[in-house]
This record gives sequence, structure tokens and C-alpha cells, in this order.
Amino acid sequence: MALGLGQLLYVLLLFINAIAILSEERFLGRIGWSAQQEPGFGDQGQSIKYKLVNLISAVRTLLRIPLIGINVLVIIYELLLG
Amino acid sequence: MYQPNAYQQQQGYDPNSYTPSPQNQKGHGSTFANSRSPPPLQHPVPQHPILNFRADAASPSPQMSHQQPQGNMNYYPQQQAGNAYPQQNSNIYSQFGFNDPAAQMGMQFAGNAMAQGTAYVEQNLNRWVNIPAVKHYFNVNNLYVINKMRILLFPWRHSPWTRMARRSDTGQMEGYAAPREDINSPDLYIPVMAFVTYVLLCGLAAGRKGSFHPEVLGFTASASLAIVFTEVLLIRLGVYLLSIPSDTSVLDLVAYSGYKFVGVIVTTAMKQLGFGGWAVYGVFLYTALSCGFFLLRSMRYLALPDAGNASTMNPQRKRRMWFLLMIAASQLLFMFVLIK
Repeated sequence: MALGLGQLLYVLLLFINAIAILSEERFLGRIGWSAQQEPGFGDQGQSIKYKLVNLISAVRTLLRIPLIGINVLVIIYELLLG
Repeated sequence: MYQPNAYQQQQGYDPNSYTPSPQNQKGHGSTFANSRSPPPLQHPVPQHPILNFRADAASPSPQMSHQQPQGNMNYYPQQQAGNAYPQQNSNIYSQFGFNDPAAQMGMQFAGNAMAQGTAYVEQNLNRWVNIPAVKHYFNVNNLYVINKMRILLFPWRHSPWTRMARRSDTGQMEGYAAPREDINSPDLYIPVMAFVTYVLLCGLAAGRKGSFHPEVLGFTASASLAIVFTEVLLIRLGVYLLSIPSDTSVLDLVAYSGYKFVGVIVTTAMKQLGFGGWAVYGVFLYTALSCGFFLLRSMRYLALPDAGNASTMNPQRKRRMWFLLMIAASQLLFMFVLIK
């Protein structure tokens, strides 16, 4: 019951961090989850795997720079007040 | 507000008990109410008795008794004599006659600032929160609330679960009907009230155990809000991954997620009323199952929007059914966490 809003924020932040540090050519490409692999499938656009791959690549490209700032803020907060 | 007639009537009251610094509590209170009330109310106040009042009220008196205004009893003859009055009058003006317009200006200024601040807040709030959309969820009446609570606790016999669509004049659908008109529409009134009640009930439970601290309320509110947010996030993620073409707003999901507090409140109240462990677990199971059933039926349009021709895409439909069932089953888990 100790999970409050702050902890939820941390969990989300750590999850997004985890997604954002997945390496494209070392990890995602090897297991076939690279975003560039299937550009032109018709039915592929509906599958869960395609959605996940799309989500991961979107997070990697879109959230990389905001994540730096948010992480720095959280680290400073934890150092000072945690 | 202030009435000069009553004042005149009180003048003949108990003339013997004159004190050099009389204090009329009633008049005192009314002048204070005057100075705090909005500026337009201050204008029609007659100047003459008010001046007397302020002089009386301003002089610091040790006697805050209920003796009625004897000072004016003496004052009035002085006015008639015409001798002492101008002196006193100028004195009063130097003390308060100047102060009065300044106070009015200040009040008007403060009022203007308040109005501007409110407008600014509303404008900025409208930018981030869609106020009419939120108002739609609070458009409830007593009948709706009672019926909805009954459905939440006894959802088994309720038959039509589809939401009524609100149609424009041309017959096109423009959103759903308000909760006031449609029993199946999700509202936010019941979730918000149930949430607040749940937090207070947790505080009560902690108080009965003797471990109440104001932080308990904050912890409870934060934890339950976190549960609601988690559920909404998971549902959104599932909707995205299953590529369900739904146009449900987040507020719908918040409402559906908040309905579980009703069952949680019932169970917690049972626990607080001193029922045994088995009865509490029985009630918990019942409320969790009914809440799950309620969500299963009422979120069906969310998960299976194309229920009519769904037989063509069988595997996806099956997957969505599983998703819906998982949402319903997760109520058991979330409610269990909330009851602890």
C-alpha cells in the first residue's frame, strides 16, 4: 500500500528510461524488433508486435531529449531531498 | 445591513448608563460588515449615523457589554446645540472621513483584481482542461445517482447496457447523452464522491485503531489515485496495442475506474462495523464480482465497438474479449489492494 503517486511517477520514468536505452542495432535488430524491417505489410499494421515495435521506436525517438531533463531533475531532487 | 431607523429607536434606550466610551456591539458588527462587504453596498449608507458609529467604535473601550447605544443619546443634544458638533465632526473627518473613500477605493481595487484573477485562472484552466466536457460528467440528478449505485451493487438484472447517443437535428451523432438522461452513461460525480468518502473512511479506520495522523489521508488519497491512474494507463495501452478503434475519452476511463470505490466503501464499512472476517471477505468478493460484471457489460462498447460484424475477424475479437475480461478481473486485484 506504500505505492503512491510519486512512486508511480518513478515507475513510469524508469520504464520509459528502460525503453529508451534499448539499442537499435545491438538488441532490437537481432530479435527482429527493429522498426525499419516491415514498412509495407498490409495486415502487419494491426498486429500487437508491430504496435509494440512502433511504440518502442516512437519512445526512443520522441522522448530521448525530454528524458535527459527529467532525469536530471529527479536526480537533483533525490540528492537534495531524498 | 445598517438601518438608521433601528438606531433612532435605540436612542431612547437606557439613558442613565452613559459611559464616556460607549460601545454598541450591534452597530460595531454592522460597521465591520460594511467595511468588508463589496463596494456597491457601501454607497447608500447614510453618512451621519455612520460617523457617530465609527467614532464610537474607534475609541477603544474596555466595556464590550450589551448595553445599547447611550452615547448617541448625548450626542444628539450636542448636535442641536450646534456648538460641540462641528469640532467633533472635523475630528471625525480627520480620522475617518478620509478613510472611507480610501477604503472604498481599496475594496473596488481588490474586487477588480479578484475578478481579473478569476478570469485569468478560468482562461488558463480552459486551455488545459475542457471545462464543458467535464461539466457533462457532473450533469446528474438524484434519480440517476440512486439508480447508478443500485446498478453498481446489483448489476445482474440490469438489461440494456448501451449508451444513448445524443443526436443533432440532422440525425447525426454528436457525443453521448448526459448522465441525467441516460442511466448507462458514465459520470464523474459518483467516483469523485466515493473517492473522497473512501479517503475519509480510511482516516476513520485509522482513528479507530488509534493510529490516525493527517498524513494518513494524504497517503490514502495518493495511493488510490495512483491505482486509478495505473488502471487508466493500462487500459489505454491495451486499447492501443489491440488497435481498438475507440473514441472514448480519458474521463470515461477515469469514471469507470472510479466506480470500484463504491464497492470498496461498502466492504470497508462492513469491516468497520465489526463484522467477522468471513463476512467481510464474502462482501468483498460479491462487490468485486459485481463491479467486474458492471465493467464487463458497460465497457463492452469500448472494447467491441463493431459488435455487429465482429464474426468476420474472429481472432481479434477473441483477443479483445480477453482484454475486457482482464479489465474486469483486475478489479478484484485493485479492490483487494484498496481494502488493505
